[in-house]
Amino acid sequence: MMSDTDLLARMHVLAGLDLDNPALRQRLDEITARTAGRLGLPISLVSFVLDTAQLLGGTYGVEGWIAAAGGTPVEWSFCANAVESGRPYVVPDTSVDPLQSVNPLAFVDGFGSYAGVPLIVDGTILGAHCVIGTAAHEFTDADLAELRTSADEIATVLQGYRRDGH
Amino acid sequence: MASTARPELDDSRDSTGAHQLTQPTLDDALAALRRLYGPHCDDLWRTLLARTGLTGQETDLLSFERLVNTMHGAQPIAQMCGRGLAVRAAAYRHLAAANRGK
Repeated sequence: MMSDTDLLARMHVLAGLDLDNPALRQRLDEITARTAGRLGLPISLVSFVLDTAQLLGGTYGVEGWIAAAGGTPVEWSFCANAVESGRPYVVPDTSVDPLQSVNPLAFVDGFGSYAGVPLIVDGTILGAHCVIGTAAHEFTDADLAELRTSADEIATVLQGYRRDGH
Repeated sequence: MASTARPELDDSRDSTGAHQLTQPTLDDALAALRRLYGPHCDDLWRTLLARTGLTGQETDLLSFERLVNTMHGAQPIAQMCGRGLAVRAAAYRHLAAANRGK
């Protein structure tokens, strides 16, 4: 389980980033759009996993209450699993997954499949970059490699948006 | 990204239908700060309540949201904590409004 020390480090690094900068949002939206297109899935996120919620820093294909809220409660966050393990998290079919089949994002909002990789800045895992399908979907090694490459690019982009003093 | 619209809703704790998201409370905010700040949380909590004009006994969502707004002007870790709590409040508002409209 992710320790409170890891959580504090994550919150500290995130606090040092200008997450509301419109140019950053636009760039992260562009990367999620590209990732969704390359993997052929309808939704992609840049998700920052906070203590009580995941905050969406960039999105493609997100609508409804999730877009309006700008995130979800952390206990529903698929990306939190990638953050906690430090490894890619893949759910080919949420309807048969013991953990995610009871997740409202799956059985109410229709998330049918998920693949995400940790987003690492300054050695700290801040969240994840992921794709989401509305049906079951098998992910390949090439899919995960694409996510990893884009996550590394996102990390580089984020490093260009530090607040003064951080 | 977050909508500025604020759907009206009642203050019942469990009005989000199948999502079963409970209304966030000041107790939730205090628990979140306590996890991050440990025993150093009490002074910060008292300061946030005073700045917001709350006693800490309020149970309504508007009071919670007022406190979260105050957290946005606090120290960096508390600011990030407030952002997470704001997402929870917005999620609750939108889900409760959607469920009430069914």
